Amino acid sequence: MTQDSHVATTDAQTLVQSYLDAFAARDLARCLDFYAEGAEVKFVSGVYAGRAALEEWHKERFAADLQILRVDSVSVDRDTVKIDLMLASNRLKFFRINSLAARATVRLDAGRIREAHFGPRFTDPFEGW
Amino acid sequence: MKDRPNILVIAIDSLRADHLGCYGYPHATSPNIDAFAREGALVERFVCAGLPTHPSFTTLYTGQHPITHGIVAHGPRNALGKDSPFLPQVLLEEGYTTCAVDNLATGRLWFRRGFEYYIDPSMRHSLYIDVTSEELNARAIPWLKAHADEPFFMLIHYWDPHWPFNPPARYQHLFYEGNPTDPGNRALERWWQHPLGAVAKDTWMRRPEGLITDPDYITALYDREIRHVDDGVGALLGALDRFGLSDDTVVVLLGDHGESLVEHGIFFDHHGLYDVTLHVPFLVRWPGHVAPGTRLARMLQHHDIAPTLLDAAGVRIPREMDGESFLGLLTGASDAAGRERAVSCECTWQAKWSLRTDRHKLILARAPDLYGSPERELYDLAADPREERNMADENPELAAALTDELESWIATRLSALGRSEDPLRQHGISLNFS
Repeated sequence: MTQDSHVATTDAQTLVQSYLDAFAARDLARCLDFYAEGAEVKFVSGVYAGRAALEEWHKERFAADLQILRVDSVSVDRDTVKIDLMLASNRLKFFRINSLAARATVRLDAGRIREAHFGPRFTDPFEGW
Repeated sequence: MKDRPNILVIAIDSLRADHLGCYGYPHATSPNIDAFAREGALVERFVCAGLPTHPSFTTLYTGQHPITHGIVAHGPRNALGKDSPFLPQVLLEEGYTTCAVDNLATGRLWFRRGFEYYIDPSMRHSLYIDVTSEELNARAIPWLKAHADEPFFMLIHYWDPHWPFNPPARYQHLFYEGNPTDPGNRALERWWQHPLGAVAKDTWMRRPEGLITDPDYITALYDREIRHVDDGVGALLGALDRFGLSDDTVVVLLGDHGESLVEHGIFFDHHGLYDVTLHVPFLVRWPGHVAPGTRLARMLQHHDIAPTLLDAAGVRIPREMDGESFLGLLTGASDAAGRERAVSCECTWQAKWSLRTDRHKLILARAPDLYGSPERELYDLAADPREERNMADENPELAAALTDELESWIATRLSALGRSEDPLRQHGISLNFS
């Protein structure tokens, strides 16, 4: 995706969905192109800052075959998109976790990702009782 | 003055004894805990019976060894039997108001048993282990004030020293000078190959300035988290003083298990039956009953806690509890308590038993571990307290004798319980976080 098309993509939700599509396609260059200069990824409690670190983070996730099983909800609040999803990966499978409730919180700035936080999502064990 | 004492159990996750000043650590990690230790009794050799958190807390609550209650690992295959006694349940029935400030019941419902109040501030976090001592105290201290006139039992479970080690910024000047992200430092590369190390490398060891590569820095982060929880303990004990409760309250401070930092190639987790993980602090303060400065050299374990606290409360100890009260040791009324042998087990990341005597420790594996450790390890704890020289091959007679003793202990206990299969073999390694 080119910088021009980034700028043209004003709808935050669409932009984040496009990023997730690129992630699912394992398209590293396209994924990185979504990020602004100096962007950060927070992964659980880890922080990846700078292009080399972001590249490494994506490669590690691809190597672990991180997959989005299901999107449970999407909400947009000004420049921030919050997505609740269910994930699976080889790394989780090692620990006998077949799926994990997760949340992606993505803050945008001028049509690019400024900051993204990916982490597990608290699920109330008494929900639905 | 109430006719029965209040009971406050301060349980600190992943706290190894030898990183506290009162157990000889040279760094100032624990000024409040050290002061507390001087006001009562310190148990020099308190040995965890079951690793990690769920087995250990179940042992604490039931007064039963893991071989009896059956919770030998984390994971969904576990369920505590209804016939296991449970400390808060017994105290509730005896008229105590019971409260846990904790989150273990989120994963396993039996941790809720017997608690009239169950307060879980970690529900505001996506990861329950991220709850801080400040958040727990913010709920616990008003509760103590509100229930000051009732005989109460409270257990508060602090998580600060549990990984990920992310101490608040106010502690960042402590215990370390160096370059934590030096790319030339390869000391942790072996750890990255371990599944737990890979998770750590991808998450909490990744800082804006780069990947942490210096294990000494991570040890400093662990020590900062101890200082963090120490401040929390100080605040809680200060509140107890302000509310006029200290004289009427038995306060116990303990670790559920320790933490292997770099020892034995096990980095920053709590598996492995070595003393860094098994040896935890145990402190008791009970003004007028336990003399300040008391030090107990006898070996004790977590299943001895519930009988002891019930004894202190004047409550009959359920016969299903297989721990023993050491109240007499604490008060000086008797010296007939303590263990000559301590058996421990783990089945979450590896399946092992250990038998500890005054002098030696035998570790026996039921399945190969990820480190390629031998099936049988034997250490001379007097000559080699760091457990670095496995002497099983050079002293096969002693290794065989201790193996026979351990196997016999397991078989006898199982027979008494009407079971035949070793619970570690039956359960299998769970590899489960929660």
